[in-house]
Amino acid sequence: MMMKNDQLLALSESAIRYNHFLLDYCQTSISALSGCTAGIIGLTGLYGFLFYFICSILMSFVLVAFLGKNKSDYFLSTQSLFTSTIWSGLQTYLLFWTFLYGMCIDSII
Amino acid sequence: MAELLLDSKIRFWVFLPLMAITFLVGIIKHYLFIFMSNDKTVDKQQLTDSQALLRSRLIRENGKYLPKESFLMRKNYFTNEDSGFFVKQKRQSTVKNPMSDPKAMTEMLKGNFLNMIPMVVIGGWINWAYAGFLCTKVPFPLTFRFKPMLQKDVNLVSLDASWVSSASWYIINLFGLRSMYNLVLGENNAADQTKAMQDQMSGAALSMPDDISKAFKAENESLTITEHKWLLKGIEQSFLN
Repeated sequence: MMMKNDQLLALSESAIRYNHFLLDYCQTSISALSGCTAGIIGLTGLYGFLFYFICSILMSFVLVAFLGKNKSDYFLSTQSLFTSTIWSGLQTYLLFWTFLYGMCIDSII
Repeated sequence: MAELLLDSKIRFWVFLPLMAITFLVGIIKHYLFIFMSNDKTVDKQQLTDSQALLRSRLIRENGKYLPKESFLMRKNYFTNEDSGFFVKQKRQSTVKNPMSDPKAMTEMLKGNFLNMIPMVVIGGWINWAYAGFLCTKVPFPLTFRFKPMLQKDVNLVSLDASWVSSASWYIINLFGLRSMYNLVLGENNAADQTKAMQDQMSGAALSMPDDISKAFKAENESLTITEHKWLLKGIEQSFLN
């Protein structure tokens, strides 16, 4: 994917894009799943948002652990693993959280 | 403020169907798009031109992996002052009016058709069939400013801002399910209505440059000023170490 040569880096753009697509894929899955979970157990308010951030940061840590020391072969910066998709995933999370909360919690319906 | 209670039938006849409809319409749209799109026929001259432009761009970007002679040879082929490809080719500027080309017209109509049908028909139908329901409550408190966004066509001043009306629930689904389509249908799917709208606005749908001679001139200039920078210097050493 990438090799180090003095200071210059040789990158394959399509590979980078594919890696980011996979990262996005993971993020969407985690958002949907954690949104469902939060809805079913009936989290409200700040706890729900906290739950999302904990889940997605946990996912990033799992990815870091999974890639191990090959990490720099796939992603340029470790930071992008944590921050690049967290906001786009929030939308999916909110949708599923609201949906399952509305479906499961009897106090409002 | 008194707590509001919704009929549980709303859950199964409004709340759930809206999400299912939005999702399934997106999927149907994706497959209709695949079904209806046929291969475009491009004429030979245009294809040659766009391939030349593409090749020149690749040389600019990846020329650093080529030996110097190879790079200069390619650069010379394109930008030589007397016989370069970009200099020699004389194209009359063909800024075609898309209205006069029936083939482009059909393509455009088809694309618009597929985007407009779900937007207008489904949206209109949902507005008509599910008008005026409160569907659900978002599980977090919101400020008053969110009321017009979440409570479309329910104009109750004293209602708490966390309640969501059916029309708004449809719109939330429309935007929120975007990344789910990526998950289900793959990356470049046609289900994404909002992306298609953005494309229409910015005119990104037209990938072929209209005025080819102008594009040639620009590409000629940018290739001329590109210097060769050898990236693989000392690559043997670094591989052996």
